[in-house]
Amino acid sequence: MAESVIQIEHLSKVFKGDLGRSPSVGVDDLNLEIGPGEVFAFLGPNGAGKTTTIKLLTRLLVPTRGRISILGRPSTSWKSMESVGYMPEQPNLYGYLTGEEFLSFIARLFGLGPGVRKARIAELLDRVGLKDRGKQLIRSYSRGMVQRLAMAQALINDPSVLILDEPMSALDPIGRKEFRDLIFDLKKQQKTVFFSSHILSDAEMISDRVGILKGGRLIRTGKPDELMGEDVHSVEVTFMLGPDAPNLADMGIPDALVQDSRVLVRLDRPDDLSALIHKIESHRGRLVSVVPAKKSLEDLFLAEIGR
Amino acid sequence: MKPIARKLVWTVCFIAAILTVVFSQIELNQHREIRFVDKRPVFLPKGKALAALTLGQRSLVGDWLWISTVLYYGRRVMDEDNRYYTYAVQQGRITEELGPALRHPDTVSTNPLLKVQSDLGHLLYRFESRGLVGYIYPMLDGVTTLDPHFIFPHVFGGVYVLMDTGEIDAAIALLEKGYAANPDSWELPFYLGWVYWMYKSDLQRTYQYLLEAMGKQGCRKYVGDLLRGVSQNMNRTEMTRIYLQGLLESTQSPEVKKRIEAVLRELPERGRQ
Amino acid sequence: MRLCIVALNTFKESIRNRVMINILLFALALILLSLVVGDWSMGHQVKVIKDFGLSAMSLFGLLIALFIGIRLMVQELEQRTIYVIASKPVRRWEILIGKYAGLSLTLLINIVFMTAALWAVGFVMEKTIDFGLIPAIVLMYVEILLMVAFALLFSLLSSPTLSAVFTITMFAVGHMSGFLRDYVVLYPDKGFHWLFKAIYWVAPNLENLNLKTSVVEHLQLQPHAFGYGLLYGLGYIFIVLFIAVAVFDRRDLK
Repeated sequence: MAESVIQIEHLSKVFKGDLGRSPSVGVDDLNLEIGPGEVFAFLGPNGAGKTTTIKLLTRLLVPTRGRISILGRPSTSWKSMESVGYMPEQPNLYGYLTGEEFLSFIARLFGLGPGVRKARIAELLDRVGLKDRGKQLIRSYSRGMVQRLAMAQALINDPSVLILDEPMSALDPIGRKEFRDLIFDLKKQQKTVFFSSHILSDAEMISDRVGILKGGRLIRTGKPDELMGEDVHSVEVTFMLGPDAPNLADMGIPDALVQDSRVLVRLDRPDDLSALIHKIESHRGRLVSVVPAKKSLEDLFLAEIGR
Repeated sequence: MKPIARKLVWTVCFIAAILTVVFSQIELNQHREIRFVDKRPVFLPKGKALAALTLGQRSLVGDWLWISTVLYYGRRVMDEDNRYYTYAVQQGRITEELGPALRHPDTVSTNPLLKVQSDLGHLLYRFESRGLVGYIYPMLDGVTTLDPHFIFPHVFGGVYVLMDTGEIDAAIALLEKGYAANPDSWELPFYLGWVYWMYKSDLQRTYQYLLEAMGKQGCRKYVGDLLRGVSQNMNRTEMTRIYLQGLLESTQSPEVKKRIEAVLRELPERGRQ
Repeated sequence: MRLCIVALNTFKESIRNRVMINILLFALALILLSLVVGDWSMGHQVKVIKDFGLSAMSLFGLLIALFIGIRLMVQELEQRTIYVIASKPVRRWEILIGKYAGLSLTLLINIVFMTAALWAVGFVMEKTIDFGLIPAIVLMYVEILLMVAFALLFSLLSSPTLSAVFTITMFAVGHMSGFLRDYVVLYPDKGFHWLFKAIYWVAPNLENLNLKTSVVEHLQLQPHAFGYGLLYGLGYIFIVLFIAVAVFDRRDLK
């Protein structure tokens, strides 16, 4: 891996309990490196520590132990956020500003000059589909529109790293599709994207690498293909029954989907495959396809979390 | 700057700020000390506590109390509550604006102007007034504690209310309290002198206060005239003339001016009677 | 620079916030009311109008400190709008002081506006403009800023309701601390001396910032009263904001 863009070493966060309540662990000894141009999906159930990690990355929380550096700058320095775009989970933005004013405010914080600012705002409003809404007050926006504007503000400084917390949670299916396209665009531009999600199908589709977090600990990382392809756990066999085929039960195939003479069988043990093929041939059936079924991310996720 | 250096600079700033605060407090205390210790603790505890309770809005609360006092006084003394007031007005013995200045029993024999004073009606009026406005001095004490630099309530209590009620000691105490709080005022020692002369016949104190008044900035000419009058043992008519001239100068109401002028025109003739 | 950006944004927020206008109208109404009340004061109408006007300004400042000062950061934290700002390349203190400066600017403009109103009323009555009110108004502004700083600090340490209680208590103690010291001098044999003395030196002595009575009576100001009062107030504000920054800098934005 080339020099990492985000580097997390032994990161821990313990929240002090208020008034006699016992302290709770947000993140426990997290180690993670994310390389340039990588799209990393951070997965885990509620309370696993995804948002805590992201807030530690974005300097909203102070780590109890460990170190974070982004683009080589330690997160203790406020300058570490200069090339970072961040979109919080279910963002709330200043309702008393218009979309344009808000983006202008954020752009000023990044020190962008008036010319660049104007061009960037127009471009981003168009890109997130709020072109005609820029002059409306944010308090009149719908949830989805606020989310889009939050995405625009995360991109205002043309960041090389994007940190997105549940970016798709408030979007409708069309919005999600647009968002996926946006991520692909960013990937083409060699941006590094770190996002958390609980919508696994989206993560599976757009991420280069996923990490699964549980109880504040990172329990698995890897490319989705690798994680899912590690073992073929079942095989789907499709075949046509021969004209004189007996009852399927008599053939020793109890669970099968039958449509006319077409049969779909799912074998939980791949070793049974040769025996099945033999049976089909002996009854003059015709084999149509054999598909090894890999685990879906969801299966993997459930298996890991349930462990 | 290195983080440690930055921390050091901030710590120094923080300590400097604390020192600044303490230093300016000490400076302010030094300049405030002068007027703080009040010689007459009689007025202190209640009034001071009241002032503390107004939370910085002393003048506002003082004004409110002042207005209440004026309304209280007006309703009690100059209204049908006081039977003898209406009576005296009907008799033409009290003109409304000048009434207080002319209503005093001690000048009966010497001041021909003040016929009213021989009248039983006036004595009753004064007696009744005193009973009716039992709270007037405590209220004025409150006003003048809240707003010690508001001169007029001192004069009101020290001169006008005195004329209606004859409570000389309370009036003098109020004027002296005002003078202590406003040592630069010429009006307060002037009125003190007047009260000591008129009510106590204490010439020594009268001299002393009138002299003090003359030494203040803005003192009017008639104070000197009055002082001369006292020293030459003038008769009360002449003294009254000087006093009325003083009132004439200090009043702003054209209506009152007209009336004082009218009385002044009558004065010499009456004096010769 | 970034501090100014945050300040201007906060200014814009309070301009678009209706609470501000309500309080302003209330204060203006009080000045008008003083015209009526002044009429009953036995010939000292202008004094009463100025007293009323100045008190209206100062009480309005306390209200601002309570309502807006406490909300200033709490709103950002509760509505989680702070996430977007604090995750930018901005120092924490730039956010906090920026927001404080923005509110201070709003207050300044309100004070200027109300002073103009007071002068206008005074001009109608007296045909002169009393510039002598300025030192009192400047120190009053400093007092309001100090109360806002306290409200801000308390709001970072506790709930909004408790913050309001603490701020009002601080205002009350601040105006009474001089009395506590006088009490000690008057009754040297009574107990609690050390406590009263401690309160006197630790709590802000807001009477140092109160020249209202003096200017209305056209008294010659005590030597140094204005200069040292100003120094005292600004020093105290620095201390309170310093602590607030220290608290906010280490704070987790959960």
